[in-house]
Amino acid sequence: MSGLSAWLIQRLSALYLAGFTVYALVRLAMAESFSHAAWSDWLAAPLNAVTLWLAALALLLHAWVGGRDVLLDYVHPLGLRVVMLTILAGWLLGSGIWFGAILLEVM
Amino acid sequence: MPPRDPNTDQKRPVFLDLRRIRFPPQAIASIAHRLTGVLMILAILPATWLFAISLSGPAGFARAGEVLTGIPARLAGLLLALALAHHLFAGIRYLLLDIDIGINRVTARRSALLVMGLAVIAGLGLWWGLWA
Repeated sequence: MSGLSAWLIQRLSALYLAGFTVYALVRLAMAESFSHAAWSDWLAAPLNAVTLWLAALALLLHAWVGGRDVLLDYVHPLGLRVVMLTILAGWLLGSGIWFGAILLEVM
Repeated sequence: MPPRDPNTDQKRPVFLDLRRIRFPPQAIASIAHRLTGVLMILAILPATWLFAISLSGPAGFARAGEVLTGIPARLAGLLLALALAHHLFAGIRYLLLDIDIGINRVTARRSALLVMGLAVIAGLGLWWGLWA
């Protein structure tokens, strides 16, 4: 993923994440009860689950494009660059798979 | 003599004295946008871990609450709240610049200062709202 597609993905994911962040904070401020039951019920509702799946996807893509740009700009030795890009990919993919597995379980 | 090619000329003048380079607000906002992005990337895995334990059961939910109200999480929360606020406002500024809004130098300078001011206020407010 590079060039125009990365540029476009970065901006589309930014728009979604900006909207989602504001929504999530407002929703959190409006929450009436904090309990495991209320939390997992909220996540199990289909609309909330879809919103969260999309947010996770947008976040991972956004973090990959942005983190990759930063590494390519500042890390020049090829070996170190490959290692750091691999760590970044593992960090994001690991988090994403873990998050997806939990969400599937709650649904 | 042909003109120098600035991309390949090894003798081109290079001035990188960081103590003497002046960074305009636009440059500071840009570097901060990168720093805050990296900071939030570092938070993704710990946040996923918190998400996991909060859903593991009532005991895990209580445990997540304890972790979040601890001193390390409060400090990390302050940094992340400021980072999120800056990244969001600076990001909106870049989206507007992309469509040529606020593109002239004077406006761009003002909007960079505005973004940084708003980020501090909103970041502190967010932290206060979440933890106080």
